[in-house]
Amino acid sequence: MSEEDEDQPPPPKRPRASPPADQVLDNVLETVLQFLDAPGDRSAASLVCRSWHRAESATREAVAVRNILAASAARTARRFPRARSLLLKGRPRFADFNLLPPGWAASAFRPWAAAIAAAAFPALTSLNLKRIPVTDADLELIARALPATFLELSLLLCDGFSSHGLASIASHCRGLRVLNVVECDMAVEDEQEVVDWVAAFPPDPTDLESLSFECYGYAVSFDALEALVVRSPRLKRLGVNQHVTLGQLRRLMTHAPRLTHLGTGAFRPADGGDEGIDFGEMVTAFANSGRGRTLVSLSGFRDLAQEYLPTIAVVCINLRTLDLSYAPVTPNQIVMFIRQCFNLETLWVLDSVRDEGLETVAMYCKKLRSLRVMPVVANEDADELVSEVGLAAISRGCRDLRSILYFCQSMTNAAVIDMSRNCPELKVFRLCIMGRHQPDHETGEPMDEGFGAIVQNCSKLTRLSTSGHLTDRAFEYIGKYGKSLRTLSVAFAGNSDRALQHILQGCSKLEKLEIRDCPFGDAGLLSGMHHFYNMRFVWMSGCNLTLQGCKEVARQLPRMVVELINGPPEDERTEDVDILYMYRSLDGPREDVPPFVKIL
Amino acid sequence: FCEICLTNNCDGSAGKIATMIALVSSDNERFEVSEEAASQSQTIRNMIEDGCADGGIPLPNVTSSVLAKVLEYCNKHAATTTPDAASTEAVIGSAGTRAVLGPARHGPVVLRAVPCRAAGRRCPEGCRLDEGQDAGADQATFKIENDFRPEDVEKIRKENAWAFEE
Repeated sequence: MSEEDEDQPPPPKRPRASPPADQVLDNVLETVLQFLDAPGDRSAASLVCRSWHRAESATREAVAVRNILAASAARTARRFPRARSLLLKGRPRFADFNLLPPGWAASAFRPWAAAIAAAAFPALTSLNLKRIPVTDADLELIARALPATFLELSLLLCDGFSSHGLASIASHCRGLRVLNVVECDMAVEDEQEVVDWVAAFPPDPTDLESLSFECYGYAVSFDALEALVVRSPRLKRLGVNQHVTLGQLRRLMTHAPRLTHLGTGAFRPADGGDEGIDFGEMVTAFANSGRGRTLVSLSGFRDLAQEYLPTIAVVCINLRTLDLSYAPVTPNQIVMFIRQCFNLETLWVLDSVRDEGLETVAMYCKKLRSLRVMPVVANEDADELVSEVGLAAISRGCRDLRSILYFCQSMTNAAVIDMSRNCPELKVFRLCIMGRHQPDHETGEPMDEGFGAIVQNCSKLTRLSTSGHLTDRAFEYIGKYGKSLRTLSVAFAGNSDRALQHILQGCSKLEKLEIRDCPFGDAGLLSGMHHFYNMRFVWMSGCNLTLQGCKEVARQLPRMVVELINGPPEDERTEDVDILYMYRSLDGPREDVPPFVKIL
Repeated sequence: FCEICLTNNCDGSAGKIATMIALVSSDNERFEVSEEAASQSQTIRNMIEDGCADGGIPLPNVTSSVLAKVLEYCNKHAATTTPDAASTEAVIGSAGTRAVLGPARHGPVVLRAVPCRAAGRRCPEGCRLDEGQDAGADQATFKIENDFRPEDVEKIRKENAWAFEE
């Protein structure tokens, strides 16, 4: 492409007869549309006229299908034959909380793997899958279809594959640059059956830039891993699993001095103390890797030996991301290095840091944009470690906050209102008060005013998760002010269908709605009929929906796939619906439907 | 197609002495176009009116190959402006380092090329597209006839929204 301009003969001095206008146009368009990146621009270009549509389809390289069930592989390949990267998302998010039985859409990816193997996407170099079941056979198909050209595989929250699938990719895809396996639920294997996929990489120098397997449950051969890192001079991101000890980590770090992202594995010396790694050696290791100032992200700490945590202090100045979500760090420990983290933008911690730890974070991490505070014990009976005190401190100290996920046992409206005023740039507000129906613990009032203030004051809010005791009033606020909301999660809240009506009639940009265990029935559901085709999906479980209401939706919206999951067996005469999951689909309902799913 | 006035709907008036304007690309290629066609660009029209165009209008940031393409596009559409509702405005600009064109989303949109700063796409001439602010003085706006049937537009819009967009 880049040579096209230079290869053309110099234009004549006089105006010349033009080739057929359409052909010229297509060439010009394709030349220029190459540079259109933003998805919105591409959609707009595709609607201008026929030749623009052709040109845009022929030049779109980054193709995203954010609900894999919404469009078939065949349709996607027909429209975007030159796709270079494919992003596919599968299960609804509530599946992460075990609300969706396994095997719900077990073969969703199979047609895509088959399409890739049949050269339907001949330019494909990059595959990015989220919440999708992937089998070893699928990975083998892809690896064999694109051995020379496949460059990037990212699997996030996927499941079903094993070490064998990874070995297929490692051994066949010679130019592989990215292999990221993140938070995946890989198939359980017998110890003898586990393949050392790290050893499956060919012995030549690799082009690997990113290798991440922090969630991988088995040990990989360290010798093979070390040799792989040594012969991967372009490696920038390395995330090892908890079987890699601190001493081994130190050795890997010496082989990859220019890492930008490091997943540190166990962060504990091997048992038996053979490693003899001391504090100073670890500090040196970080100092050396930090010398290039390239290290910007740390994660891992999967079996943290607390006394070694302060060794990271020397690289904290450059850190932008710190993920301590597997490390129960105490307030005294976090204070030892958080003071240097003044460039930190993303911080994930456990509530073991307590309110005091959060106060320290608020004091020093002024550039913080994204914070997650997750529970060590995810249980409503657990000790209260963080509270409204921590939330208020964060809101006062971190004014640039864009995104927060905060688990706690109890909360006050005042603290939430403060946050809404102190952090007007918030785009994501997810508050999880772990007990059900918890009111403001100081006033005893529902949490309506707090959430109301969030939607009212944070005009850029696109994602909201509610919790605590909420009446219909909270949803009146959300419907009235939540005009930018695209994703809404509601659990154990509201009094009546009015709440759901407020949401569906007020939130005009709503695309994703997930509701569990709320007293919402058919009337509430039907109040959204005008809007459902604008939404990616609606999930309602544990509510008061009946078969009749769901059938009515299916009747009025024929292009909506309306799935009833975990319904009663056919012979049982009940109208109750356990889980409703509905989504738009261009190609009709799927065919592989497990017995616990009924599609209306 | 009329080779003199470079339009599709030549009314023969260009057979008379048509005022030709020379546009000079960065590599010193001269392109002669009718004044009418060139005046689609506000900047050029200003220069013509100010009398600065006599020696040819230099476009130091646009190469000949790009300019040739842009002119073809201009010429095709200069003649097809139909004031109907089913048309889209597209903008061609030669500001910045390169001429680009793009569709209108909510009215005329300017896509203007600016020099590549971020490491990212390797563009042939070191450019990337940047959404401009407003239809400034150096852009030209064209109406493109939308040859889709309404049901086709609806189908594509649905396909975009349901499957391939954010």
